[in-house]
Amino acid sequence: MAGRERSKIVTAIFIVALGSFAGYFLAEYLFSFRSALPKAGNAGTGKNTLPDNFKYDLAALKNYDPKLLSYSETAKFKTGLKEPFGLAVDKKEGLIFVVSTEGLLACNDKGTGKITGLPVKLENAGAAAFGASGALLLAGRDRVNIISKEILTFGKKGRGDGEFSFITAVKASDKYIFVADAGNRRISKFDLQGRFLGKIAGKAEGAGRGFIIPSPHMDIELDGSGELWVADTGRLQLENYSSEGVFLGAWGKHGVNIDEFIGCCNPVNFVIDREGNFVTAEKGVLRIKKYDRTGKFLGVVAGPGTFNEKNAGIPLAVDSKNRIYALDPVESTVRIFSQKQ
Amino acid sequence: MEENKTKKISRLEFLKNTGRGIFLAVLGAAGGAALARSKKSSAVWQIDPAKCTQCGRCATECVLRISAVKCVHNFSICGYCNLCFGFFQAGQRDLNSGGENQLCPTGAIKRKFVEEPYYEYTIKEKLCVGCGKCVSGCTAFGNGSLQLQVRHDRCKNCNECLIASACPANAFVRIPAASPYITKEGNENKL
Repeated sequence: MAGRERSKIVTAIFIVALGSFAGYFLAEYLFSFRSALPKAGNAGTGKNTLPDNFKYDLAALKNYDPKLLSYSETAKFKTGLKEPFGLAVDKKEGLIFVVSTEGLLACNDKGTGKITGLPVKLENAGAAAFGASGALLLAGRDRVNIISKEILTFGKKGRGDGEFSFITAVKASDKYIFVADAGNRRISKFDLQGRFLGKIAGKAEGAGRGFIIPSPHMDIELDGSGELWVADTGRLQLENYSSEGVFLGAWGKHGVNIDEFIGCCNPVNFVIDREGNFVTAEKGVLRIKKYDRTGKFLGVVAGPGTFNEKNAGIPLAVDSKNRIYALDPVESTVRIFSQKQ
Repeated sequence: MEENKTKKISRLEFLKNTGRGIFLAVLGAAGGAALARSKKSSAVWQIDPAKCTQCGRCATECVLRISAVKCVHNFSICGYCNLCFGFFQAGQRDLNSGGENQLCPTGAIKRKFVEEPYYEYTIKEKLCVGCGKCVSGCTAFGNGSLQLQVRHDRCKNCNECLIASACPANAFVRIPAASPYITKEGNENKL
């Protein structure tokens, strides 16, 4: 009796093992990646092609309803600078400033102007903006320069207070200067003389929500009431903070639809227009879109295919007529978009 | 009787010996030079990641049935993204390793939790066919930390590499065998 039982068990184990082998090899044959491999004897003959599921269809992600395009391009001009990184509009004077590490173009909206050397030496690309007082802010990777009648420089490389690792944006109100540092994943706050006042959501402190910045893109803006907005690119959101660093809210969601932010880390650039709406630029599928203050999608400013696909970001600015300025760093071109009537 | 230790050689013999010596010295020098030359010209095929367009031909044109080109990961450039577009399909349902969410058709990328919200991605070379689909996703949306690379543990280093002839971007280059890899890590903007 015991012998018969043992024999049954052995037979059962044998059948299960046989079934497992057969299942494994069948699955390997039917569902594995072998469809992508050249057939035996075809390797190196140029006769093999990849199945469609082995190709990345980026074009499918660029489709959107053209009716959503609410802006048209009204002007564009070459900057004449090599690898420009910063764009700032002086709303009082109507001047446009384009910055590279080699020079500064000051021009009108037709691109007429002149290129001069930088008033300070920038060893690497950072950011440019105009402060409320009309001073030009120029930042390299770990240093900020306030340029008015005199030049004031502050900051150095490091992780301590008032130090920077990788500056990606700088903005100034009539009281404070805010500097976005993607390397240290924090916003540092200074007074107009460059004295350190505090930091917002630094990762090391463990306070607040903490920014998620997977790539060197972290833009900031100040709205009409002096509140700070930060592109928390890893969360694919725009976050709102008081000037004292208190978290007030956030909007934005990830996805492939036109009203969502695509990829791992977007929006890489944004600006607040004169009506208080948000204009965002994304990388991957390069497109510029517009949202209201609550995150409601309002339309497309420039659709995919408008800019050179090699760009990793599109710096934005707004002029006094509420036109959107977009810098294409690869083409070294400024493009101006106006709302359709 | 004292043996005469000095052995006299004829002039002819002296010339013969000298000739033999010169011949051997020239032979040695030629051999050494040939060795040095062969060592110097020893080159291998590699992909320049700055030129690569991930067209997919690395997977289909190699003389090996499973291509010698594989995806490799430059960890120092990686953002360790939760929503990695080299790993996930655009429009994925969930942010997990479910097959329906993965971009790689062969499941050749492993996703491992590091700390909230960061994940590490490693390539399972055995499963990678070198199609470059993940590299396209990472290059377009992420930091571009994935790249295609000729792996020299399996490359036959053909004189006339068929992938090189088919490459539309001229991304296949000959580089010294002593340093057979080109990585993106050498010229990234470090955070």
